[in-house]
Amino acid sequence: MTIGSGLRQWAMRLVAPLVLTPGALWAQDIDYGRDVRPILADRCYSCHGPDSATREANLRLDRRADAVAERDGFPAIVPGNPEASELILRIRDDLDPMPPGPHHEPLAGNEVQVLEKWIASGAPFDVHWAYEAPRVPESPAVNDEEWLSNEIDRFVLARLEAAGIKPAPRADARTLVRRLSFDLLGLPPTYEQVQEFAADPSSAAWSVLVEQMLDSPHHAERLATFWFDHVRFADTTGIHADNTWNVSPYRDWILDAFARNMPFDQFTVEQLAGDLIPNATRSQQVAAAYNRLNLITREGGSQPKEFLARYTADRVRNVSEVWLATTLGCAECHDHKFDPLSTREFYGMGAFFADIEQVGVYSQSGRNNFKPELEVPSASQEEALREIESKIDALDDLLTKDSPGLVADREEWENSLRTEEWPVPQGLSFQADEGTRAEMNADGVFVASGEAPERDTYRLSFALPEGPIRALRLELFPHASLAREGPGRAKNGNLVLTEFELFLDGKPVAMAGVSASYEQPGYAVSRALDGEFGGAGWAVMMEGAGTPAEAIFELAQPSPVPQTGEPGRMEIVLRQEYGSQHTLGSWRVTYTAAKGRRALGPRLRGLIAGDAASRTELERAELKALHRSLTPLLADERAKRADLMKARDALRAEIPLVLQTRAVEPMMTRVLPRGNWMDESGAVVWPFVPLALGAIESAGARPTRLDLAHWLVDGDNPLVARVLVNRVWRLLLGRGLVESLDDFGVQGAAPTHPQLLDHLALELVNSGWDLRHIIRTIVTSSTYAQAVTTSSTADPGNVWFGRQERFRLDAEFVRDGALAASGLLVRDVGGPSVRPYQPEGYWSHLNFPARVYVASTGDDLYRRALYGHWQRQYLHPSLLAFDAPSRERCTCERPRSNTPQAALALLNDPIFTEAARVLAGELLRSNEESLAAQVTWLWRRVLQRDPRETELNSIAQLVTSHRIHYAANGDEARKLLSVGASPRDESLAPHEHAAWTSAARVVLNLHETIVRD
Amino acid sequence: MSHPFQFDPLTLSRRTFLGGAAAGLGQAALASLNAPGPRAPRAPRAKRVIHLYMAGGPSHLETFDEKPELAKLDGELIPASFTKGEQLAQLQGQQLRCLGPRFPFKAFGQSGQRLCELFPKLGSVVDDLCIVNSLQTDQINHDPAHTLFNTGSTLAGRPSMGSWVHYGLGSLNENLPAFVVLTSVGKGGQSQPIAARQWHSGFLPSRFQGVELRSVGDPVLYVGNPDGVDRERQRDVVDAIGALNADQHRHSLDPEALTRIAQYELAFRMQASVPELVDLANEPREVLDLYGTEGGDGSFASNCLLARRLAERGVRFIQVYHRGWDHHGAVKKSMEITAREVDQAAAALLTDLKRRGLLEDTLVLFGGEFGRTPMGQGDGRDHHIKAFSYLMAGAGIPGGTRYGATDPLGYNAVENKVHVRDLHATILHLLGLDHERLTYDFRGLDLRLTGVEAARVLKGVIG
Repeated sequence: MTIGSGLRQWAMRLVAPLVLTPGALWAQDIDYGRDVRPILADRCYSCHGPDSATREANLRLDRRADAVAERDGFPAIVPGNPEASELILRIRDDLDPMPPGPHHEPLAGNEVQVLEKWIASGAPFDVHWAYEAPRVPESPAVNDEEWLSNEIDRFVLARLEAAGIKPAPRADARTLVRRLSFDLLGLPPTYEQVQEFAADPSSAAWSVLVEQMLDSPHHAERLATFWFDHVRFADTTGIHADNTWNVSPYRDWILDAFARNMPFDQFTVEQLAGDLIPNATRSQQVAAAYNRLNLITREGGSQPKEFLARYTADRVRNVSEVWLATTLGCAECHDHKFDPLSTREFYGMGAFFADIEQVGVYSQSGRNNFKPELEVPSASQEEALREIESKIDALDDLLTKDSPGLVADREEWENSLRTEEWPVPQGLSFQADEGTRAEMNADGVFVASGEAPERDTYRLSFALPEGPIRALRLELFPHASLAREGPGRAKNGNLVLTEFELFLDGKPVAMAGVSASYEQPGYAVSRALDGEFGGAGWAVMMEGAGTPAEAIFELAQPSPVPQTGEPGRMEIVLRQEYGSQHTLGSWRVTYTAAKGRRALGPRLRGLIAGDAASRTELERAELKALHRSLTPLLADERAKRADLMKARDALRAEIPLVLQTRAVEPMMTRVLPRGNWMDESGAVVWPFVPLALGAIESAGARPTRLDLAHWLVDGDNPLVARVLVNRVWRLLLGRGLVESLDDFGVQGAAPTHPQLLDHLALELVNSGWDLRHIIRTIVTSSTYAQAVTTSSTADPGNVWFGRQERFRLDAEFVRDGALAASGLLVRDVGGPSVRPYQPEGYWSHLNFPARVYVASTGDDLYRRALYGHWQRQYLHPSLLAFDAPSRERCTCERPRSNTPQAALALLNDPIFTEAARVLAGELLRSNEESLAAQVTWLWRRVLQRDPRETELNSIAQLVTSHRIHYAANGDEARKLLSVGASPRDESLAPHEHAAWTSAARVVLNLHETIVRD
Repeated sequence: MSHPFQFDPLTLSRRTFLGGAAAGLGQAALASLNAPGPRAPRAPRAKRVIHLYMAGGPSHLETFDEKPELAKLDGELIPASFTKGEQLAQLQGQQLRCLGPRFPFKAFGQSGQRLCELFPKLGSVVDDLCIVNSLQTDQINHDPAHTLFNTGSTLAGRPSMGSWVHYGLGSLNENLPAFVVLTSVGKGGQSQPIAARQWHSGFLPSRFQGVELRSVGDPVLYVGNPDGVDRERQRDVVDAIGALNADQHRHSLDPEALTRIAQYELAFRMQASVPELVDLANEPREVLDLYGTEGGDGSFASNCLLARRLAERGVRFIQVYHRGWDHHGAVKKSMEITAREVDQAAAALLTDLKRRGLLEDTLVLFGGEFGRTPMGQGDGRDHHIKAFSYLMAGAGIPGGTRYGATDPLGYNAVENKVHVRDLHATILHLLGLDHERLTYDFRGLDLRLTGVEAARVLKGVIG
């Protein structure tokens, strides 16, 4: 349920009838924020606003003190007297009206009327509470000083006393420890923790407990869950095919930041702009993955431009919801109806994110296809990588060092290249399956002509020459008759050789390998020998067409030398199945008897043929490197190096990736009229923040995400600290001081305790954005420690916090709690996402690609729920049943439903049944002697208290009856004890174990078990 | 939060929970759960609602609103008087040309009402239908338009109409949820997603939430017992949970504990009733053929048959989404496909309900969240909010009738305009609820499905 929607509705009811037409105006209808400020901002601020760089006549109209200042007897505004106000006189000046032409249209008549009415009513510049900086509140007096544990209690108690309400008594020790453990860790406490505190419930002991929990890694996990709802952290892209992407290092970063209690200002800066921090560390770059968590699409046929606009809007909404609790998203298509937020400001905020390297529509395949992505190796991976790379470096040294033997070998190699022969086979004939026609000239070069078929297969055949053939060379040439001069027949001059085959007298000839002078990325020549006729092949498109290229195909064995009679006939088959006329346009086939030939291309060939003395340094190095890659003298080193490269690639394939935020030249940001991405008539905007919230001084430079981040946490921002402490208050007391956690605008709720809110906000900022300090302060207050009493008639809604709230645990903690109680919980922190059990077919509606869910194995099945794979479109049904959000957008407040689906999940999801049977096994191994002692063990373990008699009786009855049933139905017992992957304890009697599993299921399903109070 | 009809937990004796037979456990809580709401129903004409929800926004111009004038202007620029200042979705900033209706209309039934020829089966039951041609809505995109259609508001957190009806009237059954949602995916156009918020109970207590009946896998997630647990053993476990929750409630006075008991009871009953519900083995061949389904395939036809079975079993509000009407491109081909997917089964449902005597107290609605533009978007149509059509049947609504009309191009509803909230008021009225009196006190405001603006009951439709 949305807090504050009622108030919004109420606000709308008040506002709806106002129509700004002349003659329909009443002074009392004029609202500064809604009616006046938008006119001033739109028509006046560009020269008389907060931007000092563009300010004219040293006049600013955004602050009352300036607007009503004397100004040599001509104040711009004389409150109560529009006729004497220079502002009105200048606007109404017929000869030279403000705003000045020719760039600005004059104000409309009703706009002038609004300003006049407003000045007549005293020109109030009332600012919405949330847009004014928090003020140090006066410490209120209270009667019952005894009750106070710290300063926040004073604010709460003052209100309670004013309302005539007594605070609820302090909760009992067990309730307090359970409350604290669920609130700070998202896990139940142990019975021993409760006992220890019950024995010494002093405030000192409480503080010790609080510190223990704040220091626990599980505290970071609990806060991470809170944070992930805000920044919509999920494992999938969210749109269309909802593909999995790489984000787990960001989760680890958040866990680490909370574990170290990173100051919230730094926490903010690194997420929004970690990549822009000078000499950014890898950790800071990982944090900046925040900027990539928006929903993206890979759907073919999507318009990149539309989706780039969506991504921008998604980011604007998120940053304004997470840090500002501001519904700037409402201004995407029109100026905000209630808050001082314009469409221009929406896009101004969007412009901060215009530098993020991204594409509108992501490609469909591959591991690393949400580029850019950053490798985030573990320490051991980094070490292993360093080791391999140093070995490669050592080999590279060997491979580049000169020796007399190598120098001689190179000279010999160059000589052999100079003298090698590449004759055109005699009597070469040409045929094409799809009818391509081609003529051969005197140099043996073919040029295709006539209609180009979509695809073709060329067949070139000739009689075996007298000497052996060790390699065949296919040369491609530019030609004036071809589109963009070729060498292919496609419209862009390209071609794709999808397969090369060689036959001798109809029998396939084995090939040893192939090399090419140039390969278009993704179209390696090796694809022409991969045995697939279609698909990819060798293509040669470079910058600009008309570039020659060559490929040399080496035979595994030299061709036989003809002895007597008819020589054998060799056939070269060039398959070109790519389509759209990607066929060869101009080519030549030659052969050689020389060994170990490598495709060089005309340039290198010319270099070798030419004068050695006239080679440049670079050319000499190039030839040297080429020789080293070929000479048999270095074959061992090359093989070792190839192995190391393979090992390095294998290692790198295991290194986690994270979506990376990398800044590039910012794309142009336009205001999109009515949010229409196709409309290019809107103004181009630079990054700027909503005027009502302040301004970023950037001395003429384009403001960046880093500027935005600093502006959020520079301590002057009126919203950020309040927004955060309010949400933390809600985590610990069940409801915010401002009920509308996500809306601090005029439609949102007003704070119930404005002074307390400001006190906490200032406390946060002044403590160096120490979030843990705020949490500690709240949980050590008397306010926090109150019992949950039934609703009082004086304050049925608990608006004044005269008692604690009772609420169901968040979805993740329901699961974590059951696993913790059973002992199954694997408490490892961090790492890649894991996959718990999930009903078969739950993903059957996903496609591109179709997906079959495969659950994790071993320990990964029993990790805390926050590590579970978070599929935005199909979230795990047990989490969904307990109201976990899809994380498609910022969720400040989850509903807390109570539904049959939740009951079914807790009763029947195998993970809860498994937890119950493992818990029952623990119980049986505990060697409690009586049934009563066993029930007590179970109750202490799960609920940290002793069972009442009714509970004892109920469980005793259940166990007795199920024991009989499972003794008579051993198969059923074994089936129950086989639910889940963990092994069953074979030493336990199945009927006994099964009967207690029923009891454990009962206690894990109790309302009390999944509720914090 | 207090509910006017919440029973006083202190009046329940311990024996109520522990002394009775297993089946009695939680009945008291359930009786409260299903008790009627704050307003005594007035002579209701309908006991239940089946909403065949054509998600994506079907074109009114290729379904139930015949526009020969539009055909004449095919390919011409639409007169600016129609579109000036109007809200457009994907067509913003483009040349707006008329796209004539892609199919002819035909007269059907004794009433001779004209429907697009793609709907011969609905045509065969046209004498039971009232065709409303003058719907209007405020929201031009799917998600907000669905939210408005379901909750009367675009703000998240408002109860959907099924939840309001459940809240207002209670349940008619004890084994199934009162509000059930089914979905199917069509092959024409895009199958736009449907958010679970569309059947959420919003600020109403969560037990009024709709429950999705899946057509793949477990009909309701986790409806099957764990391996090795038979129904009796599950009964024992649920009983113990209920007894202990009741015991705990006496200590904590937490009203949610009672809701928990009721939800476990409902869950347990669903474990039996859901498999029985979706088992079509006893449906005669003739019925399967009538709907055109073998069942179990998640098709709209299968869901229509399930809707009848849900209606028979006393489910109060049944929403059957068919996600297939977002025809931005190729409206001709897409309409052929999608119409074929729904025509027979929708007509079969009406026929089947009628012959079983259920139609007289069941309100059946057929339509989407908005209509589509008379202007082409290429060879498709964009979202349109100024005019769309609905079919209404049952609950004593005179059939063979037509209500409201659009201008000659089908752009604007011009006669007897029907806002979504008027439809809401009418639905509630037929169920015996006064939309102005079915309110819920939420933070000091009496909120209602129809909101703050005036809504009217469509007397001209319901007769």
